[in-house]
Amino acid sequence: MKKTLTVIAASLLVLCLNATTVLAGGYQLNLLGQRQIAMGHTGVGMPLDIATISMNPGGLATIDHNAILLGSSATFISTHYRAPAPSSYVAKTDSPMRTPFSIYASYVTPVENLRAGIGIYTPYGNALRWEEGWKYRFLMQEISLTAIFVQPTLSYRIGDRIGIGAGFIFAYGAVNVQRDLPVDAQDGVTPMVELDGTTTAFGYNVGIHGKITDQISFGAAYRSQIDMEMSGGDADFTVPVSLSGTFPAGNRFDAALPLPAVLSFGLGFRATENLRLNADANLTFWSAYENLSFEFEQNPETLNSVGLRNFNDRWIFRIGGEFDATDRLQLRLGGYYDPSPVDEGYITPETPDVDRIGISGGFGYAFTPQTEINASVLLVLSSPREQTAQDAMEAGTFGTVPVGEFVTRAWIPGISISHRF
Amino acid sequence: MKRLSQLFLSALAILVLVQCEPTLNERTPDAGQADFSSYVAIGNSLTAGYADNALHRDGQQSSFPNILAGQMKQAGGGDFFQPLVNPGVGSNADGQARLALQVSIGPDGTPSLAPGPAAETGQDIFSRQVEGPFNNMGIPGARSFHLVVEGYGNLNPFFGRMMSDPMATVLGDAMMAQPTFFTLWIGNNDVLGYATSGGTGEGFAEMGDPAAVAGNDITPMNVFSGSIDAIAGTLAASGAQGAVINIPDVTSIPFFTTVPWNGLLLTAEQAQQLRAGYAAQGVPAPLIPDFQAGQNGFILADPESPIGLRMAQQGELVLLSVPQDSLRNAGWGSITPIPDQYTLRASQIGEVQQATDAFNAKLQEAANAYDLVFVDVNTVMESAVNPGLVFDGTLLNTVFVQGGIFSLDGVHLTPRGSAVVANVISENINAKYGSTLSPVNVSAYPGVHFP
Repeated sequence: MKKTLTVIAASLLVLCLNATTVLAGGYQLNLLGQRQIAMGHTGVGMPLDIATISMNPGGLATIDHNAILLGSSATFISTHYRAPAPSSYVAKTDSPMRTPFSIYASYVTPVENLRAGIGIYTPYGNALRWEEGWKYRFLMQEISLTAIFVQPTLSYRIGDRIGIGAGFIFAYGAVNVQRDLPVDAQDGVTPMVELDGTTTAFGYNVGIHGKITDQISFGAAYRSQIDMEMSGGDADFTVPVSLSGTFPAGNRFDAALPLPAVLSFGLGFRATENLRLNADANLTFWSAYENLSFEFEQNPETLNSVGLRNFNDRWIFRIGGEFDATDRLQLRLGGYYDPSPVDEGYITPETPDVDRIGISGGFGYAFTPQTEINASVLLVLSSPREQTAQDAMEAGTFGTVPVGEFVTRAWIPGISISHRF
Repeated sequence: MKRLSQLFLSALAILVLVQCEPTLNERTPDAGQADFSSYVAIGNSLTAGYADNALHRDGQQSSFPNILAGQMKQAGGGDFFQPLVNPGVGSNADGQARLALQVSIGPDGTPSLAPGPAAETGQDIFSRQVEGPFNNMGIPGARSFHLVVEGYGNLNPFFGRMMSDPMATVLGDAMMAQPTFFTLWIGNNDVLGYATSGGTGEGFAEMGDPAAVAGNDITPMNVFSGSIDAIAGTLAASGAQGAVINIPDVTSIPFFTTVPWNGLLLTAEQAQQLRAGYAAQGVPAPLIPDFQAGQNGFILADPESPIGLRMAQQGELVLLSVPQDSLRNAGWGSITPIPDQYTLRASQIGEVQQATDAFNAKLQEAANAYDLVFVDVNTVMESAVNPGLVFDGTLLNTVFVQGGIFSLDGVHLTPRGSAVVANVISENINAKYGSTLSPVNVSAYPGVHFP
């Protein structure tokens, strides 16, 4: 036992020394349920609770009780930047803690084999604030992206073994971007621009779940791409009076940000009465994110910008397990590998993206047969990643992306409470 | 089963407790084979931190030598002592305050943005307030040979305010700081005196007498060469390491490139009227400037033309010093030729470029002869013209006011321009001496300030 502990501790420390992290590729947040997060965010093939409404709507058909589930995580993310040699310059983010959440409710309808549910969750988001006056303050100083999905869902069981489900997604999105402008003011106030917009959009989420044997189950789910099209967002320029012609007051902007589709597969294995194992894979269709353009209502000739993003589709691979330590206590562990969808040359200050390894753990405790809490903690690790001037030149992004090394770490605890009735 | 729960629990405990900062360690700059313990900057206004047509404290504090000294200090360099003036609007040699961008309302009520003095008069910067030896020996207005002229402080108040003795030379005072490392950026005024006065002085000559060189002449080659050898030779003989910086071509300096040569915009009717006007003055038809609808070259004074004037051609330059009111309202450049002192004609540009090339060749030769770093700022400024220089996610170029590199006098650097120059110099120093001086963030230094 002691030896095992030492090995685990040592391996974690080694990962730590190599530094870092971010949550998930790009601006995806895979924090859809505490029980799932604790198991490497698996569960597409094994619907353990009603968080399956977002992860695999097909799994809801297997759940034979009404329930509510409220959960939230807290993100502690730190990114460091180091300029290319021989520069001694380093910068850090001072990102605000965010609380991605998920709320689910399910209802066993009077119609036989039909379940209804609703999920409210935050599958995408980003919050990054670089230290004031940092090297690339003209590219980005601060970003906040929030996406909230509301998904009413129906799920139907076909026979004993198959469940299918579909949900309609109403999405709300909000974005706030702040950056300094490359001009200087006599009054000493730093000229900057703040872009702020909200929007709504629609999408869907479908899934299938099946039992191959009593031990083995599978699932597949597809959540559609949702395009967040900001129209008429506020573009608030803080500039010296003499530049108000170039940067007009009360300006508005249009921009579009795709929230990519995700295709997921999962396998569940009930190894013993007390031990359940999962393996999942998710394909996120990041290639939808080709560029980020801002079009302004006033003075578009000067202000409009198009930034190349050219993300790539990427698979994430996950495993996780859950063990019943006692009748009331379940213990969980998991991990995943999440390669970056961003090539060198396209790394931006808003998504300083790296390949990530996530390690998670958690527990569930049932106070009563109806009420339980689940807690998780997720540690996301990666190695420093460098973007060179050469990379940027080859990508055609030179001058619009930072050059240097990035490294990130994230530590994300979370908790949920559920009640069935 | 018990062991399995212990495994889960202990792994969980580690995940909860683990707290590791990302690690990207700060690099520590190193001097390599260089000795930065006493850095002395020798030169003219560009070294002094002169900007916006005046010597003022803000400019001095963001002079390229002061920025470079900051980089050296990180690598074990010594303090850098500058002859700072008191805070304020500063002064040029004629007692005028620094320029600032100002909004003025034209006769037709449209606001425009133009540089103007920040105060009615400059501050007194020439009363002696400081004692050396100084690390920044940049003397605004100095030409190459001035640095070795005894008693130069009596001729130039910018040296007078800081000289160690009425008979001191700039080079002698520089040596008093016992430089282990120096930068020498001199020669700009040897050409610019002629260029900024519209080529009204003597052009490039191989031989001449320093005593006979007037303020708007090009320094004769023999005088320039002798001075560079004397300065670089003296410094090198003392064992100092250093860098020699060359002279940017006039075509990369906004003072010469801002007013377009063909800025005369005419309607067909106006063109016709102008032609008729010249004809009415008795100008023979073949010599009447060919005014056409659209953009036309300005009319320049040209003593070589039979009628003393002609239309400017592509490549010729109208200087930033030309009174804009006269261009707009007094018929300068159309009815009346722009006087010679405000233009550089093709032949005059030829003189300037011949001198610039010869001086730069000499500076490079001296750098090689004395085993010094040669910094080709000329080439850097050429790229700044086109396509521009990218630093920290922004584009800098040599456009007046907006470009970010040049201050409001169109000749001297902004703090941002000084940061670019300091980074270029330290990069060359690193290459020669194996040092790892750290470039500064250009985005941390301001360009032109807007009202």
